[in-house]
Amino acid sequence: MDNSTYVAISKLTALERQLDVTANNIANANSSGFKAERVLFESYLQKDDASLAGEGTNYVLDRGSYVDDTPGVVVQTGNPLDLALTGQGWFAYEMPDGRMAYGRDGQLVLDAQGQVTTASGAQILDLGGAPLNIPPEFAASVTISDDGVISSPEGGVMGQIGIFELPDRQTLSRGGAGMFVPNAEAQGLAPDETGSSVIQGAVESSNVQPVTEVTRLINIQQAYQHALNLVASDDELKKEMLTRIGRNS
Amino acid sequence: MKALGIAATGMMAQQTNVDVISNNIANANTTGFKSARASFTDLIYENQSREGAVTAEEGTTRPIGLDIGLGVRSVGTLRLNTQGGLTQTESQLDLAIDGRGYFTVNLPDGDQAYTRDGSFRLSAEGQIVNHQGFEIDPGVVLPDNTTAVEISETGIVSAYVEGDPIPVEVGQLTLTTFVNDAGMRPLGNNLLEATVASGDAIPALPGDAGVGILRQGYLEASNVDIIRQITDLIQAQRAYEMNSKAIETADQMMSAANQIK
Repeated sequence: MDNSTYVAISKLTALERQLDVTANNIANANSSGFKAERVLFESYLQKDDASLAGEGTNYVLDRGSYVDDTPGVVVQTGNPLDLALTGQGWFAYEMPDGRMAYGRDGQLVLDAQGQVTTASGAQILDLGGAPLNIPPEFAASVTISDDGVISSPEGGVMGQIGIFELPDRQTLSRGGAGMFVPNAEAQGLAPDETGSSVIQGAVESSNVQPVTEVTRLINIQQAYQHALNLVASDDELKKEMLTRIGRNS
Repeated sequence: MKALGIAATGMMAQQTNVDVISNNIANANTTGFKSARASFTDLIYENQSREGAVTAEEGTTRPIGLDIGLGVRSVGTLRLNTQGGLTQTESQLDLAIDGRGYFTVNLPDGDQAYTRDGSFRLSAEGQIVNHQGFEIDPGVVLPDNTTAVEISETGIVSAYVEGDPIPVEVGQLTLTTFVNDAGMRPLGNNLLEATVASGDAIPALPGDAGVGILRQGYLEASNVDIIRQITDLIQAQRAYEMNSKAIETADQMMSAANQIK
């Protein structure tokens, strides 16, 4: 059986997925704390004939996608409740549906109850893993130190923003709104030991690199065209074969 | 191929971004205006193969999944409640709040609104009103033959009446604070209203702990940082172009696929 068309199709499908992932990265070029997603390809070898060792057909499989966790650029905003993280640490949140999640979105607001939440309503957790509260009378005049300690203008300590270690990526799924949700077995929070620090009055912007993403678009398009050419020339070959065989008979 | 839809969400988000930025720039000279910033987050992910799924009987698991994000959405506009600069004016009824707090204004429909714009005037009846003629709350009425008004940092209004060198105390201005200033809803005309998100109005006197003081003869300028807005505008435009590039690529790929036969 002639497999070349199917090999090309496996490549085309994988490229379409990669285009979707790239388009999502570009769409989130301005989402603060967003981490770009990358696609991993691998070949899937099918041996056509056992007697021909090492020969066979290689199909493309998009095995998975992974998160590019390089830090984004830290942009100064001057807002006292904008927090950027440096280093490998992550914030933890309690999402509106009660699940726990990790993220690096530090654009925080205070709700009417004095709870510190993100714009989409997820509450940030303190070092002990409980939702953080700031007494309403100190709102908007708090100072947050490098290690996340929140203090009032008079110097009283009101809590500490938790900086945690991100568990294995395989226990996390992306929950949207910049969140990484751990599965049922990985609920424990481990404080970050790598010396991450909080910068008050700044926001970590998305780590999407415009040039990389646009060049990736070009690569995807060219690879797609090559795979299509393969389909077309395979078609041509078969057509040619059919006409010649037809002529000889 | 979802790229078309994904890139479209990106373009819409950048349009919102440009709308917010241009409103900030338009209000660069509006008294007491607070600049806003659009905030974006990624949409949900389509999980095509799950991370941590068992790959063999030995209990090995898939280290990564295949997650395809479906674009971006705007979650809100954050109002930046930093202090604006104070500009000196010659008017006795111009007040700037140095610190936290809002003036309260009685709307004609009986509701109350809050403002940082302290450019007050007098009504025909001698009441202190804002530029739309809405009375401040609690109201202060100046005597008929007032020659000068003095408003202290703590909000005590004294009037000098013609022929009398000793001022008469005619009222006390108050301020209102909120737990979550960013949750107030803008009404236009420099007015904001309380919402469930902002919490209830907390009455306070100027100069109380955590509350600002009043500066007579000054107005609070907007806190719009023009340089910041222009650089944000450039970024938004380029991000918009990048998204349109993604649409173009998806379109050309589909067109190429259509042409193979």
